[in-house]
Amino acid sequence: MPEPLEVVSGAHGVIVRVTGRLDAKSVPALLARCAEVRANGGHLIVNLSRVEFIASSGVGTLLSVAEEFRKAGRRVRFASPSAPVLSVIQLLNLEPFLPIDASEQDAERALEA
Amino acid sequence: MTERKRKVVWSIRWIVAGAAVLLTAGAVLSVGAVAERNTRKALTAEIETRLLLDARTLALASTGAMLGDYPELTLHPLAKELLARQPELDVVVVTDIRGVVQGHPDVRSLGQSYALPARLRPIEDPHRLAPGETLGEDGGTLLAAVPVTHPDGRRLGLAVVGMPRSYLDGVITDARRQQVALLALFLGAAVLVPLVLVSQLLRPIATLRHGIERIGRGELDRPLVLRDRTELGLLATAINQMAGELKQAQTNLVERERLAHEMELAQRIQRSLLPKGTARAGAFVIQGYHRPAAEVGGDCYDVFDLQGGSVGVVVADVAGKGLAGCLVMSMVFSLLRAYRDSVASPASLLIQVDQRLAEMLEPGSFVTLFYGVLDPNGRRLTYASAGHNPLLQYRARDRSVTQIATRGIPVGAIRGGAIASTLEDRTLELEPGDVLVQYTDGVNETTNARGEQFGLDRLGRTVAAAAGGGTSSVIDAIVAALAGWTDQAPPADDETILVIAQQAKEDPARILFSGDAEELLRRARTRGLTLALPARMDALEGIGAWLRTCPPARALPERDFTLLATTLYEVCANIVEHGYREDPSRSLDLWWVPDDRGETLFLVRDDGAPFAPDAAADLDFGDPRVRSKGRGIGLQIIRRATRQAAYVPGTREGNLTVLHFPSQREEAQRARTP
Repeated sequence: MPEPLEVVSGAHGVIVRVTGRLDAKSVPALLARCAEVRANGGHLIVNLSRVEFIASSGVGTLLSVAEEFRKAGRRVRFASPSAPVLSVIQLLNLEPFLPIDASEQDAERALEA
Repeated sequence: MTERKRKVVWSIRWIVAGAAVLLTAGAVLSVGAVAERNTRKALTAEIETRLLLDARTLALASTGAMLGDYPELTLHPLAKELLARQPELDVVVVTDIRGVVQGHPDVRSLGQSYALPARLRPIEDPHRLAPGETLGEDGGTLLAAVPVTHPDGRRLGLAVVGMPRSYLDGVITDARRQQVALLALFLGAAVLVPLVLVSQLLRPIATLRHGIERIGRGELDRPLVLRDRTELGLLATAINQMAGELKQAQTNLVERERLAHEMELAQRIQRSLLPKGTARAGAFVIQGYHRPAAEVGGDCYDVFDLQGGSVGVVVADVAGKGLAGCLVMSMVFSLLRAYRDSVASPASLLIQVDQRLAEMLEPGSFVTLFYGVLDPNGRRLTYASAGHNPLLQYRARDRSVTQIATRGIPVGAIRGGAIASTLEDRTLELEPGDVLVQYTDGVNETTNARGEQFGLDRLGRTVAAAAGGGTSSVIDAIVAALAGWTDQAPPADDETILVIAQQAKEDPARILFSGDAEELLRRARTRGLTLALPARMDALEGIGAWLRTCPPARALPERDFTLLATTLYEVCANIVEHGYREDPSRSLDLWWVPDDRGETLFLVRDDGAPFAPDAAADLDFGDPRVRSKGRGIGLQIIRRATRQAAYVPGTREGNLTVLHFPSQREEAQRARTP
């Protein structure tokens, strides 16, 4: 069973914390939650510090969320990605497309700006 | 799919018979009806006439008596006699002028008064009554009254004869009964005769129908037997002929299918003969290309490891296409495989092949063979050519192309080993950037619409232009040039191209697998670390944990480990999704293959449906549509994380995926080079 998402309200947006694996099984829940936030008109921070494994479907989801938020005029930040997440993102040279912050606080500050 | 309703078939026989019966019966009935009416009329007329005649006769006979003094003495016996003769009469009366009965069968009635009933309904007159005569009906009695007249015309009295209507009706009824009986007889005949006749005539139709139904069901073996001289007989003959032709067509179809199936088998044989992928041997890169003109080709190439680390290359062309050519090719390759390790010299190998093959080849059939051995530690190619095309050598140094011909004769061309004197080993030293191209006739002899051949010169120029880009670039350039030459027409002859390039820069590439992924599998099975995975997505979560248990993993930096785990996950996920469509009853096997040179090598084996992974062209993540879709990322991960990933579908062991990850040494080197 994929680990449940932790959702908290931050100062400038909703914070979704992902734990465990980000693969085909856990992706639908994340997509749904992000779509909700987008529909409610808010900004989003996705905390990836506790992601121990990311598959292609996970990467695709992050990209697609980033794109959808950009199209909707909302903002999304990806906070403190774990080493596995960072490795894969760097392998694919995706940093330009995924706004990454070292920590949740940095992400909040970025949203504030 | 709708079910075909069984057609309701109306039997011709019943239709015709029915019509005939109806017609005949109708005719008989109408005639009968008319006859009956006429008979009735005639009978009635006849009886009435008879009555009238009786009356007239009585009147005549009474004349004499009426003139006498005692008429009743004559008339009574007369009346009695009349009645005796015609007992159906119920009125026999002769009266005198005053209406007094003078003659009557019954004595007691004599002297009575008699008068015709006042209300006598006259009968329609066909009888031409004479004046004074009456013929009529009163109640139930038919009466005829005729005056008794003196020869000079004086009226003497009246003679009346009558019969009951019922008698007349009785006679008519009898007559009618007779007629009806006759009618019934005729009707019976009218029904039976047409029925029988038509039935007999059209009986062949039943036979025809059964025969046709049999053919419809596919039973084409029993011919229709119909001895009939009418058109139906002709029809039967035509149908038999048609069935015969149908059967022949069916047989032909079955034969064609069988041939097609054999062709398919031969294709598979040929495909399995061809090496897959690009092979590397030391600094050499070897790549082949093959396009058959028909379903199976008459030429072929092969690349293989030899004992001692050398690499053998073969290009062969069989005179003769189709199944025969392919089978000869198969024989040639088997022979090569059998002898190649025991014969060092290419020329000697070809001579051996010639010796063995000559026994098996049909006269007139032969094989041109080019066989070369590459020394991966050096730069040398040693080769011999039995009647094959000139080798093309491109020299990077001066960008020149040379055609190197040999004088060897083809294998099997002349029996008795004459080939031995024509074959010799040649060597070539290659320098970095050099390219060698061997090919078959289908390439240089390709003709365009105007009948001009592509030719060796043009081939050489194409090679020279593309040589800088490596083996794939050379092959792509040749294929494109040929397509342009023929205007995309389908090939008239099989095309085979083998390109050997020496890499321009020294690259410590090793042979990963030279068309023999199965060999790798053997190594994996005997010495590798293995994990069996059921074809379920969540089972793949165990890959990471298994990796950690493998001793070589401990030496890996965390980043390398992550990419390894992720790549393996992606490869297996592809197989589970596309090859198995998530069927947990099937499984795939994963091996960490030990490599003596320190490479990180993985092998995945599955027997799901082989699939063609999308050409892993570089995805442009700068395109927002690509990002939105978020697809194709798995293949990108695989491509970037590995040094080489090859998918080898349809081997004897199933589909094999070979993954070669950069070793630490390479990573370090890569990091050092700017």
